Amino acid sequence: MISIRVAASLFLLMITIVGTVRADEPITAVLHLPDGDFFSGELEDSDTADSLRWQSTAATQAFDFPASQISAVHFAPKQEQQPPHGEYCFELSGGDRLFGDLVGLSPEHIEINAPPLGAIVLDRAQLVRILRRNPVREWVYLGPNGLTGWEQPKDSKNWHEEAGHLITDAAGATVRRECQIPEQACVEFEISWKKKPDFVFTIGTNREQDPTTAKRFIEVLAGQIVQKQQGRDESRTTGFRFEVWEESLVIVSEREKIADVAFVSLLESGEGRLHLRAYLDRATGRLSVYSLDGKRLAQIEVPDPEATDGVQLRNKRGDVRLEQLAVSSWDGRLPVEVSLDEPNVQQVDGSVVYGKIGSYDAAAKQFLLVGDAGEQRIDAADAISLLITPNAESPKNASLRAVLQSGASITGSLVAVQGKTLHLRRDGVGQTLLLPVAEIRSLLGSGNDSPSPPEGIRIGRLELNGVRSHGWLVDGALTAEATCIVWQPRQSTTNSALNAGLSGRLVYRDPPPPKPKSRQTSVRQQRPQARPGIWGGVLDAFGVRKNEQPAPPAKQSISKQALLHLRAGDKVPCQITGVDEEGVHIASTVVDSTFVPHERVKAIELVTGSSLPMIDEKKRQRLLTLPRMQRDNPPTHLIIATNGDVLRGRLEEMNDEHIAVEVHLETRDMPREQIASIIWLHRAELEVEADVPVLAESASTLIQALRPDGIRLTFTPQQVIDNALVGVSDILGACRVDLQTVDMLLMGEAIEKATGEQEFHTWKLAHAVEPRYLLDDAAGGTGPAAPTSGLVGQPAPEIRLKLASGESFQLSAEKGHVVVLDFWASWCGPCMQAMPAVDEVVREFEVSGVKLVTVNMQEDLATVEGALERLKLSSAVALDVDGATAETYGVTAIPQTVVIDAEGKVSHLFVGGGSQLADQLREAIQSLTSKPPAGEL
Amino acid sequence: MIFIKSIRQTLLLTTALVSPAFAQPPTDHVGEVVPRDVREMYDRGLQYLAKTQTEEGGWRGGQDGPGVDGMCLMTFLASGEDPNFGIYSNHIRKALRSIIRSQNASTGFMGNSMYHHGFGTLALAEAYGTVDDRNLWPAGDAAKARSIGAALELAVQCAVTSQKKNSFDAWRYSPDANDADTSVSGAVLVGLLAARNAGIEVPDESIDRAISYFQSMTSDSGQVAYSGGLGGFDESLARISIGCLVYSVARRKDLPQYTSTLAYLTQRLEQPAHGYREYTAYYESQALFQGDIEAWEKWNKLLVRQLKEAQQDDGSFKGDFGPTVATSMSLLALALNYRFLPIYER
Repeated sequence: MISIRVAASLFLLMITIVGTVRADEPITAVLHLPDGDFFSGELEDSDTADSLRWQSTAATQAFDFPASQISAVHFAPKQEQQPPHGEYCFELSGGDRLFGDLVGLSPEHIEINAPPLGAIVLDRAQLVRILRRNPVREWVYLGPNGLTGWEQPKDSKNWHEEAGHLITDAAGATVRRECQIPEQACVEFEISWKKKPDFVFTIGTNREQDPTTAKRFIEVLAGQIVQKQQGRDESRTTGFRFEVWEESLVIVSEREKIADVAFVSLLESGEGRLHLRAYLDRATGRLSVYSLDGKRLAQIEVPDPEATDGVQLRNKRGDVRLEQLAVSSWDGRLPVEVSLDEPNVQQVDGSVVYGKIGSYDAAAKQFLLVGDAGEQRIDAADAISLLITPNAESPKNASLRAVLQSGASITGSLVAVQGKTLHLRRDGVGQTLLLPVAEIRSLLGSGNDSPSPPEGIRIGRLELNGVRSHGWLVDGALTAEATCIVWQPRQSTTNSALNAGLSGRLVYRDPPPPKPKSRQTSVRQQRPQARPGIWGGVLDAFGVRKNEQPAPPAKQSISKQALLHLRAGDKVPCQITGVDEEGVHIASTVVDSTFVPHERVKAIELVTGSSLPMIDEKKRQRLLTLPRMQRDNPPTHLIIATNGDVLRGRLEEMNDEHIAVEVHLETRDMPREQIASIIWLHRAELEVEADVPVLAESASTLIQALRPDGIRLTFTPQQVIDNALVGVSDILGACRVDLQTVDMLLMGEAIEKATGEQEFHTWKLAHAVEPRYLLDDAAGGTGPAAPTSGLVGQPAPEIRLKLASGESFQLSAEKGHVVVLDFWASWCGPCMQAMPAVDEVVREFEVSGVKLVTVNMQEDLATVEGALERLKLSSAVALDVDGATAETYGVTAIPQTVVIDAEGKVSHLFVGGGSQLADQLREAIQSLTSKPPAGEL
Repeated sequence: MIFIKSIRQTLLLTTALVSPAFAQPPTDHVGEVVPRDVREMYDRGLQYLAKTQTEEGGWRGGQDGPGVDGMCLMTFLASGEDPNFGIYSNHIRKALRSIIRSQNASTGFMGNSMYHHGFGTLALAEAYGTVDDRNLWPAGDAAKARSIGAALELAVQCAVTSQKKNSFDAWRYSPDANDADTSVSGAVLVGLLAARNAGIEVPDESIDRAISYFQSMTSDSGQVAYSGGLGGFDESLARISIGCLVYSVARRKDLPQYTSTLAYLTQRLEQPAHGYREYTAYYESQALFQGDIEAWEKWNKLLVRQLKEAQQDDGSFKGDFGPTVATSMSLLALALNYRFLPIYER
């Protein structure tokens, strides 16, 4: 125990954070490289030693990566994890572990059977220890094998992996994983650091809470704890924490009203390492900490009734590397002190026998131990741990460690991958080990630095779905099978064209963080004068002009430089030479095109570089709300004047001198020099619910190049040659982008997303909210007319009509049955829609005697029969040849559906049909009959 | 849902007024030359109607009958092509034969409702004096078939008789109906006015009573009720246009109801129709044209823009009552730009 005072001073310095965000689990295999690069894909066969051939999901051909460059490959875990085979866990030098059965042991070799590797003969010098697994030890976690399965806070992912280890030097970095901790558990962990240990390792923790609050701990110890009112979760902690307090490692645990802390060990300054085993009895809350040689270092006891499953490591202000974590079940017996320097055998009864294991008698299941006291036979069933080769040397020739789905691991040099099987050679094993890829969970490499690129190459960062890769574009041309974007990852010895249709970006220079949104009113003061500074940079915006002809001598009247914004996101420097009914006419030194149709234009900036005027949100909404009155004549443009005024209308024409704008069907002229910018409001944007794509069908093959000065060009790439990307735009013509100067290339759907975030592109019209009465009507029909119809509740007017079938119909004769009358005519579209629905609903109640009689209004028999035939209906039709019956029922609109109860009174009346009629009619009839509709019987 | 009023509106078509029995020659047109895009749009629509006309001279699909045939007939007549020798002269004669064949030889009733009868009457009136009916019927049929004039007279008789039986002095679906609505009544009244303008005798009393009916259905605000008297108005640009049109074609611009209906329309030139767009445009175009030529010019600009967007690749338009009705009504709304139909004369 340390003093409360010390504890207090240390705890007060603590800062706590907890990761609460689950990391995305990889769905497919992912190859990780230094610099945070990765490729999802799959491992391909390759005969090249110490090289992995990786087929990325984004590339047409596989990349070859030297094993030395790889950080890790993680494969998807098996859905149903089977426990490892065999009676023993064999701990090999270098941290390898195999599970299997012992076949033989000699002074030189050990022979084991370790599925799926099969029979293996291993130099005895490579075997460190044999652990008996049954019946007391089952591993629930063996790792780490990289970050897979570990969670980091979404906004601070500061951990990385190296040879499967988890590493960080970021202050406050937290990593956590779910891990089912047995009721009696042994947690073995190995943590190292380069400079300074300052971490918290927690056993038993959940996501939501902060596991360590120094101040609270002090309050608990001092008996001053006060139950906080903010809620229980804030004051509750669980688990056991190994914490570094200055130069000491302590074990801490605290609950609402109890806490305990114990000193574990001093920690080395500078580079150091810690390898401990903690034995936890969750029932009693007792945690005992032991060194590997069985010395008890500390013990605390804090019941933890709400203990959760999970382990967490948080770096505070040092650096930390989690090298090993093994969580297994424990039989409750604490270890005994044992030397790690001499071979020995720990037995079930707790005794330790020192001596070298000479051999193993497989038939008798006995070990032959040669010790100071001579030879001794030990039953295999009594031996729980056999230290065979203390201080064994790690294998020297190892490029990869393979971690199997069972948790076993093996290190070696990669010989080849053939038939989806890894061929691996390990020091001390005479044979080549064959590992089916399907049995591998991870391949861990030591790659931590990427090679330098060739001289003069500009490195970019490719970000696609399933890909993050530093590298560069090599020359390539568009083919039927692949794009011209040929990617060379810096860690790979090969390159490949990327697949068509990808969405993502290639970043050469990250964009600056967005400026705070404080629109200046600078536009109010600006005059539409040329801006040579900006213009000078824009003229050669993309490095190479399509043709070198000088721009036509600009007339004074069109010399004003402008920016054309296309809906696809392009920003093209140009002169606006005119606007007419068809589109915008331009003159540009950057592109060949001289005309852009309206449907492709989003805005023109006649005063370039000016911001939009400061418009408060209310005014902006007003400008962008389309009144119902104008629904069929929506404004198509926002005209923004240099003084900040905004006019909404339809731009009809613009020439050098003036613009013509139609406002409420009247045309107004304005001097062009008073216009700062014009925004196009497209109907397709208004009907955004229709999901109208901004880009053409071929959007998935487009690339948008972004220059440092904000100029953008969107085009279909055709070739990469001489450090330039060359392509063609259906609007702008030929395009060429210098890869040495471009900031970013956007690909596919990412273009549209980026475009939507540009300032002008957020200006879109929206429909005014429809009044409720119109929305109701839109659903069809007025519904029940009970409140307004004087007929409801009254005796139904008598009907005596001839039926289309030739018989007579008299309503009064139907008393005792519910009758539904449906007034209709063949020329009435809504009637034609409603009749089948009415017929169907009434049929549901046939068993209840409900009868449907449709009443045709003033049509001849042939017309009636024709309509019934078209609708495939056979309902009874009463012929109201003179409209007199309809008149007695006050029919002013059809369809009108009248429900008459068994007493002969009108109970419901529906006008207008509509989508809700069937439900309403069903409900009405149901209220008059005791039985539910047939469909519900 | 559709109110019967509106419903019926759908079926109907038109307008009318007319005066002389002959259309004005192109040189007499008021205003600018018809823009090329309007001409092209109209021609494409005509080609659609020409292509979809049946051998019998009518149109099928969606609503059909003498009223629809009449709308299509007027669309051809309004194009400016020579009705007797032009490229659509056969289509015109076939449509006329179809309408006349549908007429009951004794009652004069055309179609299965007075909507059809009204539009059929209007179409006959527009053709009367324009189409040379010496060539209308094939040699074998000529003896037993009626001429355009005879059919028109018979149709007028039917409408007048129906009105006399109606206590509202107006019309509804059945020629024998005893109730009325402004939609059906508009169709029939415009037909009668066109017939009168074409030289057929129509009793003044009939026109006066019908106008009185419309007056009784027009509110001070200019809204026009559908059926059953004032009260419970809903806004229908179509009915307001019908009211405005019948007042002006009946030469009753002196009426306050004319002023209020016209004002209602001119103050809402951008307002969209609540359903039955083609039907509304058909009447509104004529009402504005007759009432306020400057307002019509603005409104017409919007119409042209909208129709250009709406026209299908085959030249047709979509609408509530099928492509035939939507196409013919849309083109007739546009046809004010040509002003060839007598009824379009101001």
